[in-house]
Amino acid sequence: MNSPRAVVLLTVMVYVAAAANASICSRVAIWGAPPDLLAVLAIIWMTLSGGQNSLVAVAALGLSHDLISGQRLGAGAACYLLAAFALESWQLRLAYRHTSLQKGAALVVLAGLELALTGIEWLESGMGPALADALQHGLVAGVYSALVAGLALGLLHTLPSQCRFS
Amino acid sequence: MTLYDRAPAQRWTTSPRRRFAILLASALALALLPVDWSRPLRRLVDDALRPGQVATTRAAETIDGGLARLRGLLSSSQRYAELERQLDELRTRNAQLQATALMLAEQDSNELNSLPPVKPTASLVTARLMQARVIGQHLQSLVRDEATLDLGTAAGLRDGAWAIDANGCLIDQGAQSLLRRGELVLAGRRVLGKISQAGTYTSHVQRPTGAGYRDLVQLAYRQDKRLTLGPRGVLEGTGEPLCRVRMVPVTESVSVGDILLTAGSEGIASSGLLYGEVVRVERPAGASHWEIWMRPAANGRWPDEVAVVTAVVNEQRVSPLAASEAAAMKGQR
Repeated sequence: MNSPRAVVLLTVMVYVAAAANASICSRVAIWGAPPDLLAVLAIIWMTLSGGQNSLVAVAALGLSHDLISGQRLGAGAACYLLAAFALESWQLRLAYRHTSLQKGAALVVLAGLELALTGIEWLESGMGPALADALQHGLVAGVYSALVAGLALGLLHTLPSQCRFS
Repeated sequence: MTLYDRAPAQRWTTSPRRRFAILLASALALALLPVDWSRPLRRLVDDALRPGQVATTRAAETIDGGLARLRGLLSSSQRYAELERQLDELRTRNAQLQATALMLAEQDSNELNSLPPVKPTASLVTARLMQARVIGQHLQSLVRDEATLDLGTAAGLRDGAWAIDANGCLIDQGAQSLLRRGELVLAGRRVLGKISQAGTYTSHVQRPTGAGYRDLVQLAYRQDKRLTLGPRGVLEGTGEPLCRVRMVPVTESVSVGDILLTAGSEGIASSGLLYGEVVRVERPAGASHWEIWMRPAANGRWPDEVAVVTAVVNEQRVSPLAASEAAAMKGQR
């Protein structure tokens, strides 16, 4: 995240993901839950770049999420940071040869992040819809986003290492 | 000598846990800010995102359109293959039917050749064409026949007023000449209309375009200067310059320029009498029948002379002598 190239790349990707989130993601929704491309991007960035420098990038992604979704500024960023911290801790504890386990952890963290974001949204909406429905929606969105992230990670790992944005 | 030593601060912020703590505290501090404060920033982000949203939506629509075209191509190629298969089946079936028809025709001709010669008989009903003259508007006042108008003084009618029928005419033959309601009136081979009312000496002729006019018609196609008969339908007058033809199924082919003949005119003319030409063909949504519009062949001014088709019963067939001959034949059998 230190190089200017990475900053530009991240900015472009955030813009595209945010624009897609707000326009076409609803077209591919499953049970009314579209994938959260910003969360997918955050997890992919964390998985591929690693290190504590990625925390700043994840915080920026969380802030972007708050600005776009209309949630209270900072709430989503806090969730993103917690997710990034949890993922970082897991990845340090898991042996490096178990890359599939690390990927699995990333997807679990992504699903948890979506659930947390849905919970915050539910609280901010004045607890309007039924909590069970909101959690179900969050869970579906989380699993769906995790599937998208898993697919994207799989595709990225097929690329030569120079092409990856790490 | 340095005034400020940056090393302790760098050490403090580069520690992973401390960096996380600082970022999390900043995020939570932001969350405590009033919502109104972030509104201008949100508006700015929304404005900045709008071009991207439009671009992604258009890209998605383009992809959707391409996929739809691809699906259409795939389905049409499948449909083409299916139709080819059906065509092959029908060709085979056609060949089988032709062979069967040939065999039956051969069998039929053999049977006919073995039969005795056909004895000629006189037909029971014969058609007769009766000459009639059209009575003009001025002469109609002189011929007071049994016509009654469904109008009265309330409609402003007075004695001696002219009764002009723009859609029909009066001819100088009536019930005394055995004319009946519904008989066809011709000009050559063209149908002018039908007798709608037969008085004693005169009859009123209604054009096919007149409201309430109905007749059975048959479509005919022009192919290499020959006529091929098509499906039958019902001709209706609507009071408009064109007649409507209904009850022709959409499975039959109809096109502008096809002609319409009288149906059931066997015994009068071998190939039907000309009613008119198809000028418009419509298929209402979901309908199973065409809506055909016909321009009558006899559409101009009335001719001076017309012919009325009347059916005449053969007296020889219904006479007492014919009945006794039939009884004798029955006895012989």
